[in-house]
Amino acid sequence: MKARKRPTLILAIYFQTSGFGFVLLEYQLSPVDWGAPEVRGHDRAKRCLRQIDSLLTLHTPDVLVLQDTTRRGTHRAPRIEALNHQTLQLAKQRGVPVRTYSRPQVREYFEEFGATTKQRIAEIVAQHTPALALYVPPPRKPWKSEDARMGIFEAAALAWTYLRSSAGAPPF
Amino acid sequence: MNVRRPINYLRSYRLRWGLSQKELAYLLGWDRPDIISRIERKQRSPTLQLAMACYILFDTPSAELFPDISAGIEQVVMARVQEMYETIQGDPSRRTKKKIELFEDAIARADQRKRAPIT
Repeated sequence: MKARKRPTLILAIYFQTSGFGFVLLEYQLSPVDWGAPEVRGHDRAKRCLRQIDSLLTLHTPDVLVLQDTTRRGTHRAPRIEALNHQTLQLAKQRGVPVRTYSRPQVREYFEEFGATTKQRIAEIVAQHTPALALYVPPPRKPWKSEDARMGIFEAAALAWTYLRSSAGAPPF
Repeated sequence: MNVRRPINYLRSYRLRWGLSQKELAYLLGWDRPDIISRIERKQRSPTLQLAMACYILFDTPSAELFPDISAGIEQVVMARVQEMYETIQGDPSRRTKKKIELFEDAIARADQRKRAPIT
């Protein structure tokens, strides 16, 4: 008996100050899992990696999408650059292909939709992925730090950029 | 080597509707959220009561919510249907005719499901 082919699972992770945001997409616009676990305190890099490891075990994605934090890519804090690199190594150990995109690449893609700010990108993603609409944070006040939920949309934006670059067309 | 684990959409549905594990466990008839956590982490299979309760809450059949479990069950059942279908051929009784009718229907439905696009 022929078994039905399992869809491609794309896991995108975006690191932020207090943890990371992630989205697991199945097909182009249907998220299976998402979240922004907050990881604070000392040892947070180790704990972040442990959580990512369990995500990789649980979902066994076909591809992992990360931010490009190399010299050619986006400049981030050294802690985040190291974490990004460790995640890349972890995925390689597990045989999961990794794709990386810099912030200018993501921004360039979303400019097509007239979205140039993080908030606007989050709104565009939520517009096309209603399941995530509940998680769009309110516009950030200048005196407030960024909402952790923004990490979900940063990760989704990376996944969309991957889909665009692999398919050559927008994901809808 | 990566081993593919069964996919389930319980977490997707819960997150989509902004429910916590505790709230979902309560709505589905459990006192503690552990059961939801274990099913979401694919550490245990959903019970029939949970699958039916999910259908009532989300209006989603369990085959859609837990597709890999459903596919596994379908594979076992259809293999046995095929086996029995072959065995009873040639028996002219009315009971056998009825069974053949059922099996042919089931085989046609299974083929239709395989051809249907996954949405």
